[in-house]
Amino acid sequence: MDTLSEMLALGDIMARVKALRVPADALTWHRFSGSLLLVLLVLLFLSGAFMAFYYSPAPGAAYDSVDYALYSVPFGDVIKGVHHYGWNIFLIVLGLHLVRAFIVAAYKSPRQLIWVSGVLTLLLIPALIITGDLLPWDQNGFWTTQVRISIIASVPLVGDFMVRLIQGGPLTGIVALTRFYVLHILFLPALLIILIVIHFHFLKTRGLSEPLFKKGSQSKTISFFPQLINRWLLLFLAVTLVLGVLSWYWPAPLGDPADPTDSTFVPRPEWWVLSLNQLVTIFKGSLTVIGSVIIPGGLVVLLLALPFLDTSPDRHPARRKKVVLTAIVVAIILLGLSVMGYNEHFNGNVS
Amino acid sequence: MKSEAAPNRRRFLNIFWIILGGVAVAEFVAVAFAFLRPAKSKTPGENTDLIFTAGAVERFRPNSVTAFVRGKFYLARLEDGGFLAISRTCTHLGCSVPWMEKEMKFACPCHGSAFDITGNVLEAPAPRALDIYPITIENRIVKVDTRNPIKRSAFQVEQVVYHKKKA
Repeated sequence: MDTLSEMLALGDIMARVKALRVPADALTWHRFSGSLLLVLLVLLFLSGAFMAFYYSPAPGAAYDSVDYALYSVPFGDVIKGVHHYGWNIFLIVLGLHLVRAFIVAAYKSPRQLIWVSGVLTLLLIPALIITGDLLPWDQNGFWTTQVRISIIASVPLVGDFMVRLIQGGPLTGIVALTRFYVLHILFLPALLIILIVIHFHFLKTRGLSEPLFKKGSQSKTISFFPQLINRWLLLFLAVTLVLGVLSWYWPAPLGDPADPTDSTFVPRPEWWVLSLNQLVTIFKGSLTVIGSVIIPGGLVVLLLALPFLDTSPDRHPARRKKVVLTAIVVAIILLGLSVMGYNEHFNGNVS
Repeated sequence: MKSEAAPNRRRFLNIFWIILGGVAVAEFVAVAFAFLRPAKSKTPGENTDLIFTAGAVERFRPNSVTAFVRGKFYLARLEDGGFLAISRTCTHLGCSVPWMEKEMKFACPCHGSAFDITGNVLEAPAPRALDIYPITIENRIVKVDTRNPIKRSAFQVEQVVYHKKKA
């Protein structure tokens, strides 16, 4: 062993990793979401990499390649299912992660940048979903992309240019598909990793936020290696098992091949975008910009600026009434819009 | 008592953990291998997935064209009630050709070729009529076999399939 580690010259790094201690409550139930996100991300990267083995990024061929990997390759349905359920669960857990950090005000000084880097990570996810949805080149992915493109195009002044930049032209064709593909598997994941590394950097230097009730439990520590790593590996096995079984029995869906000439296809918005989609439906015509840019943009700015707006040292929710009430009102409005959107798109009005 | 049990428990957990990890790694390798293993070649003649049940004869109005996206063909019912299963692949450079309901023609978006309801060329550059697929009609149910397209230079009356013998 010694000679091998000497050969690899890893002694210093190993010593540093072994000396690393983390607070003992790093994996308590309410801090669980962060570890779960990490595990899901590894699974998303793995399943995505495996799907890339069979994928051809060209209109037409793309659909056939996905169809082949899904139905003809052993475990193809499981691997696509892990990716499919993986990102849906990832987004839900990311939401819980944010809600928890909000409730216990983990964003307060000196941890403002942990929050900011987390919100930036969250903002990257829609970009990954939008670029990923087009890749199978099925009816749903194609027409959903058309809706999203038209919403981006409604942005004043730069909208049209942005659409042509994203698509490499005015149409969703072969250039657009290649761009979405490269963004989805190369640039956006790289950006995601950078943001998460930044998130962890601040987490390590600023420390976990102290528990609201039990003072002083931070003093207990466990070793990063092997204690925390082992728990992460156990979690990884459990999540892999759950996602694997889920996709074994309910494989990920694949619709009919995209037909750009068939404008009768009405795509249904995905659950996470229902509220924003409903905003676009409410503000029509010249008011579109309110629903597509001003309100979502305002929410994003509020979310990013939160640590710098709510600067009092109080962390207990009951002593932050203004902030908490505002958040509840926003959450109720978003939920209401989602319910409206769900009724409109899934309960008969649009067949 | 406790001080003696603890190292044993620790040792047991360590071994258990290593075995569990070994099983997980083995499963991962097995799935990866099954997924990446080179495919056995399947001759298209044996692939019965490529035979599509289009539906009952009555479902299709005379002088209409119905698209079958999954099967990559159109089922055309002519004025006289006969059927033609027309490939959606343009004979020029292989683009997918949409059916234009209003103009009653197939119009290729790539290079402007156009075809009539029988697949005959209306406008160049397409060199020949759209390919067709064999149709069988049993008990008034139309089935299309897309395994082997039939190449043809132009439409001929013999290519039309009827659900009952023409008087």
